[in-house]
Amino acid sequence: MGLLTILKKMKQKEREMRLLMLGLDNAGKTTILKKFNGEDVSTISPTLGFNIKTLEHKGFKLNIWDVGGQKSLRSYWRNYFESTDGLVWVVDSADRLRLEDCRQELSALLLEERLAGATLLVFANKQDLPGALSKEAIREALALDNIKSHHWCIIGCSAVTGENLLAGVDWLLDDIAARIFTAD
Amino acid sequence: MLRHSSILTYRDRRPVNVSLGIENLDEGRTNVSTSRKREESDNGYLCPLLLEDGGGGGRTQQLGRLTFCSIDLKMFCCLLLFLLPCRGESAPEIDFRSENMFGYIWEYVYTSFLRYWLKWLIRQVTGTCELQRICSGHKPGAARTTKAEYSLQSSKNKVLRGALETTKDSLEQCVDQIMKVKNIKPAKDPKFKESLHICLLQITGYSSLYTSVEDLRKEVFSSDNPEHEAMLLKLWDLLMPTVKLESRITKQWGDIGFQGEDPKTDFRGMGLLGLINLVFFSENYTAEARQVLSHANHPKLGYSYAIVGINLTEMAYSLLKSGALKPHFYNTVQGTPELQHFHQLYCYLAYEFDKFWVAEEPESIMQFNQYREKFHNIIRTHLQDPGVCLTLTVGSKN
Repeated sequence: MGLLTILKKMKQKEREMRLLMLGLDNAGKTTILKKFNGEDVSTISPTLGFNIKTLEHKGFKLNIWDVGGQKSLRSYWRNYFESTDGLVWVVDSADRLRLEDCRQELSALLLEERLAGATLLVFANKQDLPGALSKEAIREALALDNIKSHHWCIIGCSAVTGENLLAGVDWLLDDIAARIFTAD
Repeated sequence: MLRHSSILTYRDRRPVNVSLGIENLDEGRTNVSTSRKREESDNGYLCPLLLEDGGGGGRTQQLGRLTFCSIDLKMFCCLLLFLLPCRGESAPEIDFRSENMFGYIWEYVYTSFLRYWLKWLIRQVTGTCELQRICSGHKPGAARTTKAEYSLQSSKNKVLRGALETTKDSLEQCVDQIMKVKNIKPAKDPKFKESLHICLLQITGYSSLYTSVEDLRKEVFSSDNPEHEAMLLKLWDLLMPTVKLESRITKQWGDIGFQGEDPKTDFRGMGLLGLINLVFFSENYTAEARQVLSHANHPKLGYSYAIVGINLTEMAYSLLKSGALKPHFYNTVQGTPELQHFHQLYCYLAYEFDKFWVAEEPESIMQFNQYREKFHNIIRTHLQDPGVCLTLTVGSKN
């Protein structure tokens, strides 16, 4: 029993992933997290600090960290970089005015050494809003094609309707799994 | 036979409550009376919350089993009542489960039969009905109203149950009807009518307060609405009387704890309710609000004043929704609770949270959610006390 338990535990630990969800304030990070967890998304208030949820998906245990995005909190982001397998960058596709701000923050993140091994998923959120930019427009505005340091993918989604959230996370898991669990 | 079938139809709407009883037994192994207390104070709202809590499959299974039992005949339960203790003795390893089962069966037998027989017996002896005994035996407030609410809820009489959904205007007639049904003579118990009327105003008022609060929450802050804009600017003037706002879109909003240059996106799920609460606190407790703001702007222990306020509005809202605020409103408002009473409660939370935060000296704002949870638990503990009054007492202008 002893050895088996240890082996099982190691196996479980192996199949754990740490995902870090960042983005400007009001991008929809907490809404994505709650929607993914099947919670009510109509009564969310701005995040101070962070939320963490552990979910099971496709046989993986996901630890998802959702850290508040307001300017004064961004200096704390670095405290959550350690051993991140996947970075989820959430963009408010309807917030055209702050796209440049958004691009700068993302490119600064990608220079971080401790995030060097992480896969990047960009959620072009709020596609359900009438004024939302398409994911192609966001891809251009954030200059994603210039990224050579990370595996990345952009997906248009809506956290409120739940559209495409799973597609994004599935891609992210497959990419991370292919990188770190190749021995399986 | 007639009586028998009426019991069964009554039982049919019980499974939700029964599942709450088991829920408690499973988790904390608390006794039946505690589980009933929770059931009373949280009313029907608890059920969706519980399911939401993410218990998943296990709970649904339980629910299924209970529904099965509750539909089944009383014979079945009585049979089990006799069988289970024997099983427990012969097979100690299932003792825990049968104990649960026993608690459940006791609850079932009590609410379905014993309670009524007991009530009938006491009525014969004392000549007063349960509602009369509640109104005369308990002080006005949560002690009385909570009991009256439970009594009305579990009544088999449509008039009594219907009283819980009556509108404010027809409540007087409703009280008269109840007195007629229960054969209560006003001459014999002169205080009863007024007492029951107040209880009913409180009980029905709580639901209508939730409706009004929910309407405000659903109203999205809109920059095109001059009233909304005026309220936002008023908030600034109340909190920062000496500083002029340079423009509508400005970094200055950060000084009172909004996230960015335009506060409108910060109201989110709390809508106009969040803003009204912030303004209400600043307007009615100006000195306290400014004091709290100065703490929030502390270089080390600081926090985002407005954002924390919106988070506390969410806390107040969810407490109201779950029914947890019932004892507070029953104790503090001897009549229908209004919106202003909800805003008052927010003021209490805003002021107390600040005190709590300063005393706890958290490492940084990143710990906010842990401390919020801790504060939430403190408030919930207060609300367990039947004498609870969450009122901010310092120099109000009102």
